[in-house]
Amino acid sequence: MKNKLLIYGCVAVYVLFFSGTANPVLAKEKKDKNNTSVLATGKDSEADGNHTNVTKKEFNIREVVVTGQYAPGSTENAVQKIKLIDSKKIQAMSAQNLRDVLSNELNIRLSQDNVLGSSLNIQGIGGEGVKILVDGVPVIGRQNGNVDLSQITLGNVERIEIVEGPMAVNYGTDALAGTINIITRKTQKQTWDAGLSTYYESIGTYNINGRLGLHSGNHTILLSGGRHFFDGWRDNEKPFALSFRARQADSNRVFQWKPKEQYFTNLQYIYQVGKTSFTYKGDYFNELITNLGTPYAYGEKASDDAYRTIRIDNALFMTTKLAGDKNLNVQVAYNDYKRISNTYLSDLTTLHKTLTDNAGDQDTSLFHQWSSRGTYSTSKANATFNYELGYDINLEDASGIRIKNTKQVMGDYAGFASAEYRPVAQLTIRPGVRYAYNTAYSAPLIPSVNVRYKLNNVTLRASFARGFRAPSLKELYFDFHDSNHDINGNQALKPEYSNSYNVSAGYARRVDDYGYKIDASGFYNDMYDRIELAQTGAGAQYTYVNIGRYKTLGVQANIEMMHKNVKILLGGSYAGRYNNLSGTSGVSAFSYSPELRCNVSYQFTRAGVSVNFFYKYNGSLPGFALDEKGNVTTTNIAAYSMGDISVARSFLNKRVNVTLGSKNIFDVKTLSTAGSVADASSPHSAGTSMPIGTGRSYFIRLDFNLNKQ
Amino acid sequence: MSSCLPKELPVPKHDAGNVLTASVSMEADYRWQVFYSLRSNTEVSRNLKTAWDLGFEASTDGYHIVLNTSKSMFAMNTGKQDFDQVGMKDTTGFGLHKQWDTPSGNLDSTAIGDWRAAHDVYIVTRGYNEKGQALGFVKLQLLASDDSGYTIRCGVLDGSSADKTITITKDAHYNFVFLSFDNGIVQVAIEPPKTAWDIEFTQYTHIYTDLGNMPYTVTGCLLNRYETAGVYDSTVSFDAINYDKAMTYTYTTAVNVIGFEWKTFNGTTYAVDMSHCYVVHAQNDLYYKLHFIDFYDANGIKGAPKWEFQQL
Repeated sequence: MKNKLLIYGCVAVYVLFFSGTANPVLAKEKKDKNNTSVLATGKDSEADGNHTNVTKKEFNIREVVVTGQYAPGSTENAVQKIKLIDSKKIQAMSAQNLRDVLSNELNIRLSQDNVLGSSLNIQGIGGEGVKILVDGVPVIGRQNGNVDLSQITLGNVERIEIVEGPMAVNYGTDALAGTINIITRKTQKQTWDAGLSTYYESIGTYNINGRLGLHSGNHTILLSGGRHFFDGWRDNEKPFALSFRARQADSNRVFQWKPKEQYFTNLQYIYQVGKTSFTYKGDYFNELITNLGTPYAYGEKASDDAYRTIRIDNALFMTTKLAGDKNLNVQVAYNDYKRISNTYLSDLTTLHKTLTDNAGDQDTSLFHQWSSRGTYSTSKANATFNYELGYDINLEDASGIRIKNTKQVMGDYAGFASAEYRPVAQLTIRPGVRYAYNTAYSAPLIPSVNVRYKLNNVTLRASFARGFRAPSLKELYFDFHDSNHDINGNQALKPEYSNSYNVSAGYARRVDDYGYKIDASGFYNDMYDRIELAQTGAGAQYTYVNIGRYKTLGVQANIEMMHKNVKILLGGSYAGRYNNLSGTSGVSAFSYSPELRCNVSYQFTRAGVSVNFFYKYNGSLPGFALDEKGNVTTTNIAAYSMGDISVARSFLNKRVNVTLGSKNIFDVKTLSTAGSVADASSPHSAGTSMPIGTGRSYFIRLDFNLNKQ
Repeated sequence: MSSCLPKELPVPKHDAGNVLTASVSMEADYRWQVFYSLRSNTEVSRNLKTAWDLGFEASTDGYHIVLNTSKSMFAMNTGKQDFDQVGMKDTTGFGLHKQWDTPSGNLDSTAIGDWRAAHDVYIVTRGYNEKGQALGFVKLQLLASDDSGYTIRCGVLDGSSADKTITITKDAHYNFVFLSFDNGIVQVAIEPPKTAWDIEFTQYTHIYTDLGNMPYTVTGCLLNRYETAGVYDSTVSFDAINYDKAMTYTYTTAVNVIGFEWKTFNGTTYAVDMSHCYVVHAQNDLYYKLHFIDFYDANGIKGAPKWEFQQL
């Protein structure tokens, strides 16, 4: 392990040094025998002297999306506004998990808890209002309403589809502020394909991902897996610290960002016959977070925690295209999530660890979900009328301490229908409705209307949709009593609702060598019946009630320009969040915050080198809260900038890819938070700074690709 | 591939020198009240916090009545003098008008106060047991007190059992004599004789004056009221405190001078701050310095304060 960096360095130097010479052995394997130089293969555009090069290719690629669509179609034709992050961007960012890739998106803010992981906020609404799916199967295992985004690795991801605004008609609860659908790789043309990707980051990240694919006739097997390891970070830690020697158990054992180790593997078996395909997908994920405590009692003792998360997901998919442009999709999935937290007392004089017996020290949270979705839809091009009918069944159970009777079950049986009506070629109107029966709460009837109008190069969209978030099993069945706390769940809770309005306009045009894409959009979310913890009666009794009110609104604009070897994306957003105190105190109704984004990509085609720069500015988040005395104070979370830059080069006919770069070039570590919100229900104080990054880091990534036609 | 976290090496044990180390256990739910003697370095006695409800000043001229604040008890004066007329309906407004014993132990600021002139009926909540279960309301009326004892009439507020007129006998060897509403309302023995102990480990009710006078149950260390005073100093190291330094301090008789703030709670665990040093001026003019080093026992169970102390 100690020599890993040295090995990487040697390989990088070797490849860079020898890349200038043609390798006669490999040249034989190339299909195009006319090229004598290894480097020329990637530059067919320059070789044929056309100069249309990158721009035309980029412009004309049809970006295919499936989320909420009757049949796979392009983002341009989709009635909803769907953002696409393709694998090219994931590779260009050297993103290792979902958190990395979302850090560059407008209207998405990320937060970090060093034990619970990464959470997000879309359009000013927290992670409990965001639905995360993998191939249409919901991701379970929310801690405090959030899925830990750093548990979703990207090794086998083909693209990520993001829909802002509710998709509750299709996907039910939690699809309120947005839906993120992660689509995995499903096809392979070559007989066999194998690849290995290794990633080292100077803060102590050692990641390795591998894949193997076999394809023969109607059968395809795709296997991928990997290990991600992070050795922990604290401020003022030396980068590139490569010491794995044993060290004394003193205060240096404590890290702000905790050491984390993840193992994962996925298997897909796809059987394609005619227009029908059957797929089995299995995933296994195992993560361990180690939280070593500060030594106390003259450094002789410490309290250590370990958190192990295990996810086992199985799914079966069947998709078929029937005669007359009819589509049938059915999926059945079983997800198993387990999170074990253990607390130990470590005797640092003997290194002996004992599991402690205090209430809450050892806990296992278990979530299981059986889900099945099916849709039947027509997708006749140019038809006046297409429709979709679907069902969506979710059976989930949760268990853990502080849940009444230790375990609770919820069943949700829903049916939905929508239609796309095209009175004229340019106009599509899509109304939809969802009806559900739920065993734990009274499920609402959910309507939505999407409108799309396309004229020449301009596409206009507008939508109204209802979104909802079901009360979680914790909010329904919480049970926490000790001498200072008396908190009960509320079985009469209703879901939270939102009425959401979205409008957008997009313009795409190509003039000679220049390509432009401009888009602008606006949103308004009006939420009510938000579930909050409130005092009931005298004393310290609390329960959850539907009393909250919340609104968010904002505008966003992006310009993307492509010219020859350059691609530039500039974007900005300005969003406001409602202040609850504006109803009672005289503070303004909304607090606003800007965001800015700038991505630049340049291809040095002659040298075969590409350079990528990603930048996002997150404006400060002001707000108002009541302090312990009940007076109105201002709160603020500081602004910060995130920048990544990298240089990549591929060799040996794209068989080897080397990327060098720097992440978080503005060295952001913690954000100062002023006027922290006091929780009047307890004297436990809130912090005054938030961890957001691990400072500037440097990385190297090596990808190896092998395949056989 | 095995985990790449570096292995740890053990640290050497700390050499305490002349300082004594002692610890007691209240159990993880803090159900015990433990009395300790620094002179003999032993635990003198212990009782369950639910073993008593009211304490009565035991000196011949004493008349103050204290509540068992470890159970989060409060009292309200109904203003009525007719014992039989007071019932559950009189608890309206209890939350707003309830009184508490001040945590410093100052007998001029008790919840019941000076009851001798008007013989008012008080409604008292018995608080919670160690499981967090509420113990209900009682009413009491203090009828008389003299050098030998108190006569009080008391009973369960909802009238589910008969009330009782009971005489509590004083004993000047103790700070207080005690009454329990369990077992048919009886006088019980709780504290050891006042000359036999120095400090007590118990839960008690602290009042957060900067949070709108919010009562909160905390776990800490209280002084004996009898000829004992203390002082808190976090400006010097524990080793630097000697007899001469102890002479320079101004001592207070507030019983919560040691209190609970030598540890902080971060939401999941307690961290003990060893820089919080205390000097106790105990009976017979003896001075002890002490500071806490742990709140968990050898098995990691909380409620086990461990401290170092030395006679100066």
